[in-house]
Amino acid sequence: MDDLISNLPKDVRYGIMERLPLRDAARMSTLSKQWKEAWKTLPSLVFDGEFFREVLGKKRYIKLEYTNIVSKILLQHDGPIAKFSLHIPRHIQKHPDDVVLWIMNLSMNCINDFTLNNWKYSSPFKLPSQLFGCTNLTVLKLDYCIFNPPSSFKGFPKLVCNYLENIHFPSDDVVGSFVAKCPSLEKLVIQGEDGNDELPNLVINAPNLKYLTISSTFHSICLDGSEALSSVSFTLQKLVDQKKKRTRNMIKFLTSTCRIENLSFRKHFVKVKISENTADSVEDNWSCNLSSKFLQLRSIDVRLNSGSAEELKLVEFLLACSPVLHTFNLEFFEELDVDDKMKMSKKLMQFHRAFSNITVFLIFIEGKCDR
Amino acid sequence: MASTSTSTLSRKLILKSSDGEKFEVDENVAMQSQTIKHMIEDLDDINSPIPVSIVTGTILSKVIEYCKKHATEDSDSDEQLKQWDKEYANNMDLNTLYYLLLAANYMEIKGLLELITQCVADMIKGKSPEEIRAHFNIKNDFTPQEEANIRNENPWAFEN
Repeated sequence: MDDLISNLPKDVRYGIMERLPLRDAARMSTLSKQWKEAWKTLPSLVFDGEFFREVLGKKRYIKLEYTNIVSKILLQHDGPIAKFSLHIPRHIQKHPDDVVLWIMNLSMNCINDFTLNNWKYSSPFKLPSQLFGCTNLTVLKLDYCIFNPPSSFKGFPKLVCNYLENIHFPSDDVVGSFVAKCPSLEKLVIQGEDGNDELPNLVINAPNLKYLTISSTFHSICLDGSEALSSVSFTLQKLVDQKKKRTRNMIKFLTSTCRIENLSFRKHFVKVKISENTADSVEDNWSCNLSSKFLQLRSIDVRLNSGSAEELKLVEFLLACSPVLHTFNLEFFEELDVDDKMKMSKKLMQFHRAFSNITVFLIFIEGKCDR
Repeated sequence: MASTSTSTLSRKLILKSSDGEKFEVDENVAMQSQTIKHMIEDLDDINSPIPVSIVTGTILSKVIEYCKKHATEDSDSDEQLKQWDKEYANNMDLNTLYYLLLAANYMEIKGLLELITQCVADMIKGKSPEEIRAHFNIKNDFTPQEEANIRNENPWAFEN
């Protein structure tokens, strides 16, 4: 049998190496001269948690080892790096200078896919301003960083996919002004695990945005101008006192946005939405927000808290204004008392008769509801 | 499989392999190949056979088998489709995998390219360089000294 694999086109061979842990890819450099060349020019370098564990093994106590290895690989590398992914372990927390140097190196390298995961129990990583000069970025995923684009930031014209997890935003309008400078953005995920970092008033005006997930603590969200949205998920991690913040409408959207196909409300979101509406009826308040119907909404995901009349009213309202809906996932807590359950099932039976073309899934989740 | 109502609507295309074998396929099956999609756009007469010049009939039939399975929506769950993919790839010998990779790359069928690339990567993962060379019949063109030097450049990759 001939050596077939070595004769594959270069891109296909890179593809094989990129699907291997970095250690296996590096080992391939000793196969033959051709594979040595492929390793040195590999366009994707992923230093993830697995790499860190595999490489250091029992030697983790040697603090400098990890940075030395990464630095050396970057130094040996000979060619454009399109994708770079870095897990910052605890041990190199004390050496962020190296990380800054690596990112500076990449910024001169036309990078288009950048991921940085910082070790959670340390301090958030301060992103060097050079990162914001990487104008070829199409994918940017950050975890546990301080996100502060410099005033000279011109935008990421090609950025399509952006994950911001456990990020510290130094000022209120960082997200809004960042997003406004990324006109190609299609997917935005903002997640804060503990919900301690509040994102007060989010303004997301992204004409090409299709997928939006926000799981954090926020006071209001304005989506004016994000007219291409097709899938939206909101999770409110912590209750915020709406009255104190004087934000009348938690969510200002869908005045012109009716292309949404999937909608999801989780955790405290429904609760706040309802308590906010106590003065007016749910319907009045929602219908003024949702001036048009959800003409293309096909699936809804909602978590209820107590199954109260107001919550059910909201469910009914969502059902009524979604003409092509086919699935409605309704989650509520298993520990509701029998009376509440009865009331809820009665009401749901009525919905079922009225909206027979919709499948409603009831999902019981463990735990107590907090009223 | 496409339902009868859609197949009557769907146009048929004829693909011709490098060794002259002809395959009649539904347009939506063939369109999974970006290369063919672009070829059709430039074609005046879609009734004439479309040459897939570097792919033999044996390989092309396997490519079409994959495309047919992935052209129909809703018939299978993601889980079932994954299982099907796995069995499809596992039934190929190394030679076939190599020619499928070339075909998927040339025809620009993203899913098939990813599937086979992953399958080859899985064969490499965890093996020593010696084992990889033996598996794929790769000739070592380094002198022992050269090979030792390369290992020394990345000692971390060879420690266990």
